[in-house]
Amino acid sequence: MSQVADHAHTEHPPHLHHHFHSSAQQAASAKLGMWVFIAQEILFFSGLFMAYIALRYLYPKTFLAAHEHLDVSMGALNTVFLITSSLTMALAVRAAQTSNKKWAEINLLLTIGFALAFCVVKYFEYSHKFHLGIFPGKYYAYTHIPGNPEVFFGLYFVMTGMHALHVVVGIGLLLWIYLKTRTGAFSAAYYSPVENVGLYWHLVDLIWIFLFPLLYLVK
Amino acid sequence: MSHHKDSHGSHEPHVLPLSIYFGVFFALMILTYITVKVSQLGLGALAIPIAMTVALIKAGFVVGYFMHLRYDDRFLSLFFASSIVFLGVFFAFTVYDLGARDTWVPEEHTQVNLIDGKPFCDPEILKNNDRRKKVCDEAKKRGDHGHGHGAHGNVVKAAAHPTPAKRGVAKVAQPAARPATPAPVARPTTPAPAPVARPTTPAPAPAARPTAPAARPTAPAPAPAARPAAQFDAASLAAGKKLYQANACWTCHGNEGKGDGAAAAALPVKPANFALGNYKYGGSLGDIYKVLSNGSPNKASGMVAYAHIPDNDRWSIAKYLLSLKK
Repeated sequence: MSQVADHAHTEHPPHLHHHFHSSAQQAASAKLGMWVFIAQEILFFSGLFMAYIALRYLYPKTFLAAHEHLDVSMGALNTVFLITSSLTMALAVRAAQTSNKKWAEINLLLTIGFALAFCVVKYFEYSHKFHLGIFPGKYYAYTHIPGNPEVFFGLYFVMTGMHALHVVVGIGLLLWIYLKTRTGAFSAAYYSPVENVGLYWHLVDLIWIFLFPLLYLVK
Repeated sequence: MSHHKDSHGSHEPHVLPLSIYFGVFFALMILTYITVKVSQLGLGALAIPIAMTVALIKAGFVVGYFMHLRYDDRFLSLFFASSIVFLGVFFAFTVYDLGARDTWVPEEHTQVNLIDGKPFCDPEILKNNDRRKKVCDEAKKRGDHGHGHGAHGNVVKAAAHPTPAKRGVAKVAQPAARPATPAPVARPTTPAPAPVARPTTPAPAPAARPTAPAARPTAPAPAPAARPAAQFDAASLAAGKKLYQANACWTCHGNEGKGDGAAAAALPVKPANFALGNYKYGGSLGDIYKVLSNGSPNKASGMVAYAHIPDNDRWSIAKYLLSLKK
């Protein structure tokens, strides 16, 4: 066993696994896997977006009446947070590419900060709705919106909830990448984890780009 | 294995200049500002296409530059594009299917669309929705009546939280302030012109009134014919309605007897629309009773005999069906 280990550390950089020819091939494989996952995520969310189209078609008046009860400024603030976090994430990947450890750490922390700010805004939005009696599904108890508001808000909670879950998972991944960056694990020669977590984080931003106008804005 | 040493160094990252990242960031911010502003213009039917176009441009920036796809291996673009293609197939076929379902055409007033836009606590809806009835009864108990405009509506659980309490104070303060300021000033001035204005309007009224009672004596005769519901006692109508629901008549004939029940779409012979007075085999009470007891004379029809329902109840149902005519 020790022979194998020796072999690995003398002839390979520590990040290169044995079943890959080169760092380039390993990085390309990891990225391909990430894009397959992203394609899957897009199709997963497409189900929710299709549900939105179908329900909006069936309850046009309800959707117009109910969407007035979402706070546009809160949604816009969260859009700003996510876009900014996307920028800092892209900058963190760039810092890793250029072996700039300190800059990578700062940008990862900023990304985590904006992600947490997003969650705080979401918390205030959700708690205000729960406070009014706007609960998901059968617990819905707010009588001031005509039509089928429980249908709209059921969809709202599932779509934004699924997205928020992705944000929370993203925060975990970002923390992991941040801690690894601090140990000096990443450099221009090996930064695949930073890049792929970055792709995931941009996907979270991408989904919000569609959620925000559909839920908060469209009149 | 030794050749690896050379290839390790060959993986040079493709680093984009900072200006691209910041440029994309500002473009995304401006586009966000544009969508918010455009949505406030109230463009109606154009709102969705515009919002989605802006969202697609934003998505293009994120995917192309932040996600690096523009500079990456084309193979990755293929994967991304394939997900978009399948998303398109999924949306296109589902939307086509949605539009092709005649039960969902808004003009047909299916149960789904019937509720859309009606007040949450609409008594007609509460009749068929126990869960919603419970919610509305609880809201009523709190003195919280649904008015349809929630932005100004009372808040549920008002006593439990500090913010609605504040709102409650504002609500109480308003009506208290209203009679104090404008009322005493306005009241004495308005009664003066009122007596002057009044005589002009009531004048034609007494003139018109005598014609109405004159017309009345002729009216009572056709009136019961037009609205036969008046002939029947409320008790048998209520019983008929209950039986209509209990015997699942509504599955085909619909909750309001419009022939728009959920099962109607699948039937080769469409159910009668009682609201339009479309009693297929005669509009008298006896005719309806006969179809109910013996089934439809049309063998292709799904309207079978309901002779197992007690005779009295069948009459009640027939009366109720006749009362549905509008």
